Parts: sequence; C-alpha cells; structure tokens
Amino acid sequence: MLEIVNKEPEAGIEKDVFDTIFLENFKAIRNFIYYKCGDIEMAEDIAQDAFLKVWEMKDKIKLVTVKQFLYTISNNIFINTMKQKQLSFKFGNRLFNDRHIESPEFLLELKEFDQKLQKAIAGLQDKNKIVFLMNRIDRMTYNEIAQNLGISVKAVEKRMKNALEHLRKKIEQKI
Amino acid sequence: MESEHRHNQLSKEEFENSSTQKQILDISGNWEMPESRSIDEMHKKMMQKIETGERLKITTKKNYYWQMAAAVLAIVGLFFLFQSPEKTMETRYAESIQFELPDGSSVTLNSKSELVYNEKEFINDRTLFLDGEAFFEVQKGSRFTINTNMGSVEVLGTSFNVLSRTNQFDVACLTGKVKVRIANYSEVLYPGEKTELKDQKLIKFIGQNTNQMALWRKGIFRFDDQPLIYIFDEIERQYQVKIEASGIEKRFYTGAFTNKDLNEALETVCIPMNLKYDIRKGNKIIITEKNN
Repeated sequence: MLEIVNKEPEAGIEKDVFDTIFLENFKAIRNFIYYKCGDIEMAEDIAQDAFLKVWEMKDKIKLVTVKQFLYTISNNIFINTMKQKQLSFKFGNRLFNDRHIESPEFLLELKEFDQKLQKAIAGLQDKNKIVFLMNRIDRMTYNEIAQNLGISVKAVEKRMKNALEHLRKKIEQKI
Repeated sequence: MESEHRHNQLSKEEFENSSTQKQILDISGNWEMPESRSIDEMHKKMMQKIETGERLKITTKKNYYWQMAAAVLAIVGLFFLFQSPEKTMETRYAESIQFELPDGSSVTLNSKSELVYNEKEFINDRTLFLDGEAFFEVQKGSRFTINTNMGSVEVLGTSFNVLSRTNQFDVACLTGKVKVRIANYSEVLYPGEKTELKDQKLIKFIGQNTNQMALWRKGIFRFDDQPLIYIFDEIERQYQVKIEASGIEKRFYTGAFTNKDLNEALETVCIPMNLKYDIRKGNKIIITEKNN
C-alpha cells in the first residue's frame, strides 16, 4: 500500500539560521523603513525591533515566509510608534565622487538635479515611493519587490510607472 | 525599465540629451544610503539583546509620537494556529467593547451586539457575522466580509461603521472603500458616504462629515432624521431600561443623546419633541406628549 503524506515545510528557525537571516536582510529592512521616515537612526531601531520579534517567535515562523514577515512587521512597528513627520531624504550620490565629471558647471547641474529629485521623492505617495527606491537603491527586480511586499508584479510595474510619472512632472515644472 | 546604469563616465552631452525619465533613473541609480551603523555592529547589538533575554518593547523615544489613528500591531496573529472554531464576541446592555481580530483588524462593538467568526480560519477567510452595531478598522489585505441578517458589507482595508438591527441596516464609510450589499442592490461607499435602509430601499448619503460618524464610540448617540423608536431602542440598550411610548414612535428626530446620564439623555430627546418622561422604579420610563 502506498501511503501519500503531504509534508508542509516545518515551522521553526534555528539560531544559526537566524544569524544568516539577519545578515542577509537587515540592510534591506532598514532601508525600507528609511524610505518611509527619512530618519536613519529610527530606521535602524525599528529594523532591529523587527528582527527581535522574529527571534521571539522563531519557533512559530516558517523560513519560506520570514522575509515577507519582516517587511510586514517592520511596517507595523513603524506605523505604531511614530507620527508622520516632515520627510526629507539625505541620499549620497556616487556621481559626486566621480573625477570623470567634466566641468564644475556640469557637476553643479547634476547636484541641482539631484537635490530637486530628492525633494520630489519625498512628495511621492508612500506605496509608489517605496517601490521606486527598492528598485533604484536596493537594486531589486520587480519580481523580488513583488514577493517581499506581497503584491503582484503588475502592481509593482504600476507603482513604478506612477512614481516616474510624478517625478518627471515635478522635475520638468521647475524648468 | 529595470535599467541598472552605472555612470562612471557621465558625459554632459549624454545627460543633457536624455529624456527626463532617463535622467531620473540615472541619478537615482547612483544614490547611496546616508551614514549608518554597520551590519556587523547591528548584529553584535542584536546578539547582546538576545543574550540578555531582552524582550521586544515598543519604545517611545522623544522623537517619536503616537499616532492617533489606530493601526494595530498584530501581524503576530498570522503565525498562530487557533484550535477553537467559532468565536463569539457579545456585548450586553450598556456595554461596549473593543478587541482585535486575528488579522490585526480592530472592532468596537456597541451595546447588545454580537460578532461571530472562525478564529482558526480567519486569516485565510476574513468573514464574520454581525448582529447589532460595530465600528471596524480593517487591515489592508484580502477581502473582508461582514454578513448580517439585513445585508452584507465587503471591504479591503478601511474604517467604517455597520448597524444591523431589526429593520435597520446602516453603513457609514470613514476611510477607504466599502461595498454594501442587500438583496439585489449593491453600492460602493467612499469616505463621507453612508447608506441606510429606508422603506425597503437602500438610500445613499454623500458629503457626510466623517467626524460625525460612529460617535457612539465616544458615548454620543447621534441621529439624523430617524424614527423615535430607534432612538428609544438605543436608550434602552445604553441604560438597560424599558421605554413605553406608544403612539409617538413614528415621529422623526434629529439630535443626539449621551450615555453618561439618563435624565440628560431623556431631556435631549423629549424637549425638542415636546414630550415628557416619567421614570418609574428606576428602570421603566413612560413617555407621553406634553399637554400645553
């Protein structure tokens, strides 16, 4: 007699697995919260709290879904512990260390564009902004973003499109 | 559109001749995070916290503020398996309770109301049954359905009020989007809109002030052009009294009463309607028309 047994992935995370999860995902989760609040220290703290929560629940969590869980729980901690404050980003830009930039005037032009763009980003709708930054800074593919946020790839495409559209308008209006 | 340009050799001409969109992608593709602690340092801190058995506290630092809108932290519920099937939350007279559903959504139940749902299955199938009145704040996610004897309400992520009692089915949308279904009718509500069941018809009101919705949570019971019988019913529920007012229940009332003081409540209803009340034995109230 053939017995067919359905095996689901078991719940539970070992300590060394947790370490790997932390090292592989901390940055992305911290960035995710930074995109929401523009405060790097707050982002670090909230990201850490999210991992602490995962540790507390390590016996109940399945490895397959831990990433999505991290995004959701860090988001919830964020919502629960802070009030929306004036958002402004302070991204650095690799280009400005580039000795190949032709002229000081061009460098200035780039810096102005960069500043305009960072300001415009802060004004994006949260959901569009997050997807845009996950793609540009974390360099995630649409598939990865969709999986992490628990939405469809089509939804990611739409949010990216909306972000670019809004940004384009904002950039062009000052010219 | 998933370009990953690294512009180490960004020429002025190339940049200026690009479309705005390309410029945006180029510049943003070179962004770096601001200075922050290294992952190894954070990892060490993490290990320390775990070793000292430090449990998660939601700390309020001086830069953080508590948000007034309550989005409740409860994603934890996703990973717990509940053994019990149907769970019933009930309120009695003069009682109001607030609690969380397994998906993190928040419910406030008004007096003499009942909410039934399957605790174990709720995460996968957000369906519940309501008899009475409740205010919901639904976490974004899969479809959330409230079945009542009078009709059903369907939402995705939103806050709204549902009142389902004999002959009454009122739904008010405060935030998000709500779909109301009754018999063959269905209607989508946006913030500031509400529906009421009047004479077997679903009537929709728009342009309502959301601050005036679901005020019962604050102990204020507001009515807009409602038959007195409904007001008296609510007073009975809030104070656990019995009201006798034959003959005048069909008149219409607009106003509000408080659930803090029975006399004050009765006055705010009776005076504008030219009625008088008589409290017998502390919990029986006779209401009659005033003789001039």
